[in-house]
Amino acid sequence: MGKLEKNSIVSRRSVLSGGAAAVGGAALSGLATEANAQVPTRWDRTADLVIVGAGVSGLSAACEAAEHGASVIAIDMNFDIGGHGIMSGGQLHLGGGNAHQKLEGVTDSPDSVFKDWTRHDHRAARYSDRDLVRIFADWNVDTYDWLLKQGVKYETGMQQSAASTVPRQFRTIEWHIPSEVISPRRNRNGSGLVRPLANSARAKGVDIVLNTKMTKLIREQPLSGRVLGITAQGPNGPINIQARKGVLLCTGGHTDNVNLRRTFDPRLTEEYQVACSAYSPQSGDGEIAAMDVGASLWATANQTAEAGTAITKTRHIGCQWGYNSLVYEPDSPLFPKARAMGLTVEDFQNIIMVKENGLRFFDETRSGYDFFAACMSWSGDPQKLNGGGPIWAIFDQAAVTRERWKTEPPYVDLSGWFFKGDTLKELADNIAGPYQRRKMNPAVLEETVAKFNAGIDSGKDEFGRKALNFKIAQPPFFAAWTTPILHDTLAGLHTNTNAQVVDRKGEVIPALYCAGESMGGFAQHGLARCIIFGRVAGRHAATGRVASAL
Amino acid sequence: MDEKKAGSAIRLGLTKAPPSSIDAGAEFSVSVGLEWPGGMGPDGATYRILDGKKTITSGALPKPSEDGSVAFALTAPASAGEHRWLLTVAKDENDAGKRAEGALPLALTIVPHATSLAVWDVPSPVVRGAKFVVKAGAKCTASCGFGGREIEIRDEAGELMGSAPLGTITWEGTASLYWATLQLKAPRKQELHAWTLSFSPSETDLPHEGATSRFSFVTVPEPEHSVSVKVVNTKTKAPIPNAQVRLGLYRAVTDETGAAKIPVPKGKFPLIVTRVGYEIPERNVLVSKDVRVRIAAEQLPEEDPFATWTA
Ligand SMILES: Cc1cc2nc3c(=O)[nH]c(=O)nc-3n(C[C@H](O)[C@H](O)[C@H](O)COP(=O)(O)OP(=O)(O)OC[C@H]3O[C@@H](n4cnc5c(N)ncnc54)[C@H](O)[C@@H]3O)c2cc1C
Repeated sequence: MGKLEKNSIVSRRSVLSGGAAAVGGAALSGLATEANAQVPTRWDRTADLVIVGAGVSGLSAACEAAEHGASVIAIDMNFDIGGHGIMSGGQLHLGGGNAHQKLEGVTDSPDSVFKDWTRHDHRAARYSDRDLVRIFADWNVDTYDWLLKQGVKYETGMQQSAASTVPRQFRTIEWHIPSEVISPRRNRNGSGLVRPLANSARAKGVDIVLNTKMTKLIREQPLSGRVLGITAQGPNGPINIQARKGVLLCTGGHTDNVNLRRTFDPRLTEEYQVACSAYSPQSGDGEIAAMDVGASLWATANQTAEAGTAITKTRHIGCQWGYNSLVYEPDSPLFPKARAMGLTVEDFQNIIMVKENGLRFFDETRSGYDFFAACMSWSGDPQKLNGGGPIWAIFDQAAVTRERWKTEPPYVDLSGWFFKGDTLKELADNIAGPYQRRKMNPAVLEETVAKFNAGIDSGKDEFGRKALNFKIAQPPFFAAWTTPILHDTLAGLHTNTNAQVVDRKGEVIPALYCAGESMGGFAQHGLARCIIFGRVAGRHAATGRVASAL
Repeated sequence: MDEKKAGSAIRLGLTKAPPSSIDAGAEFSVSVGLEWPGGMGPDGATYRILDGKKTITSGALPKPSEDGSVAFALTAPASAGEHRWLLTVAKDENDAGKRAEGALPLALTIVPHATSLAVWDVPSPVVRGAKFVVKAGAKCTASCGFGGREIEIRDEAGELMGSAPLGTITWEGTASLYWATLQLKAPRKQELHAWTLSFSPSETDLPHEGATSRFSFVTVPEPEHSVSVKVVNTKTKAPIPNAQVRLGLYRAVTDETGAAKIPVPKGKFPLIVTRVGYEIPERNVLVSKDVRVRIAAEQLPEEDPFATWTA
């Protein structure tokens, strides 16, 4: 750390006295409080940069801004840091010719990164804002090195994926303290990204304030002037935090906000769960607060481009949050909330899937967006035209034996996500989950299974399924929640290349930034773009220098 | 209202009505709110439930819950149909010897117990004319014991193909599925058959509705040759056990040595082999003598990069 940073920590400490809820900060000086009732008369806390959300983008921004001399307060509504990042697999998508690539013998350059992630022939790339992708590409190599300096460690090996035409994907190493991993031993390698970042941030004097939820942004005038700070709900009530240089929204996207997600895709009604919301829900708070002060959305096509894993097939069935990799074991601090680990499906030919009406709708062994579209197609419920309703995996005892499942807690959640019956009729009678709006007609389920079984005999399946080897016949019978689960946000607030939020007229909202999944414009899934634009925002807020001048 | 005489009336109202239909003989409950005439309370009150003149149950009024309502745990009549019961509540007043009374009719719809069925371990394909066995079971919604009662299987034309009494022990893993093994004989005609299991319990203590359940199997000609399939890993040549083999209508699973042997008649059969984690090409097998088929299965990358991307 240079002298400048040290000095700034000293000056910052003098401002940031006291703990999370320290009250009685500086009185607001000289601002037109009379003219705008929403500007508070007193600020409880003050910092150069106020970051909302201490997840991947927020922590990256905090480290970067502190390194460049800014005082930083980062609040998070959760009881711990990390957001989705701590539950992530820690797969980083960084190339550009970094040291890892050199070690693996991969030739790459920032230009190649740019070209790949603006490809016209790849859905995860074609709709992106190329100005943002350019900045991303140019910051790849530096970010690889920068993360090492923050204490992040990488596994060896590299993979090629998504729009990239060369290997660029590698993993962080899971954090070494299991109690700080949230869901240990299940490839939650992202803990090895966010824990070092949080430690690094704290060492640089960043004040991370937990259990504190931003409720609104404070702008000089409702739709004009600078953003001055935020109002947040802390453990001891509401507080106002003043931001001298800027507020940065890093709230992680909108996927848990049913109304906001339906802005992009009206099919995504309430029954679709979100991977990770047992830990940190993607509230859409950042987007909504920013739109309240005039911000606009950007590159919304990315959310519905049908690329990548915005929606995923459930691999751990019979529990509420059965994402394809995330499993909460009973010793996870989140287990009381998650309630079950789920039954891991090895082979999807062991099940059929039916809608809430008891009818099959697609080849169960397939996945992808045609499968999801079929899941979300109308089930025939006259009271619910959008969304497809719950999807249940139906299977018999023979499938349980083949899969070596244990159909009991802690594997399954008996509070509405897993059911059993001696016969198919009894099974249908028992199904009554929170999103099962109508009773499943037992005769329909019996007929569905009889038809499927006849297809096993004849080798012809009404949905063209090829794997036809096992009937569903041996009692008892089971129904496990297997409705597709949502995963990430790929469209959000409009920003420029400095991560400054842009309003509906296309003008920068002074002192308001956004990074991470809440930021629109670049459809790359996951950590890398969140880290890089977190850094870009932190740097610009601290120094005022434009992002291209890396 | 007519307060003076009302000194003797207890007002009753349902706070939890009986279920819209109740299994014959099943337990159910109703809750009743009570309004006592001036100064009176539930202490010492009694109740009686009448079916016409017959007393169903009577006794001291159960203790009211916090909201003041009284819950009655009851057993439904054993015969199906509409039943009208009368709940009466009475209390003798100590001093004046005045008696307070109230009554509430209870309309009950009693239904026979529903039953449901399962048929399993049905072999398919079955050689035409061959004997085969299946398992079949019956279940009562109220878990009544069905041991000893007959179940039967009929073909598409309604002809009886087999019957057996249900055993007295329930099928493993079920709450109360009574089951039996049935001996059957496959028809000569080669086709997909849809037969029906039926169960109509009679002379049970409580009324039951019968049930039917359809199951299918396909009949094939006598085998003449065998197809021996061996599934190996393309790269390592290691045998792949537990691969599912489908040869036309015939199904098998490979053993530890990656092998499965299927007896078949002459003909041309599409061969589909599936195994999670492998890509296996489909092909046709022409059978005019015993045939050996070696299938090379390409192992997919341990995890699809896209899957690890979101891992
Ligand atoms: C199971 C899973 C596996 C994944 N695996 C990978 C992977 O291997 N590779 C990859 O690249 N990506 C992966 N991802 C995606 C990656 O984790 C996210 O893209 C990334 O964490 C998003 O960063 P973010 O900063 O935008 O949000 P987050 O990291 O989610 O942080 C947002 C934070 O904001 C807080 N917050 C929200 N609203 C408020 C408010 N009003 N006030 C205060 N705080 C608020 C939240 O509590 C949270 O801590 C995975 C995601 C999941 C769910």
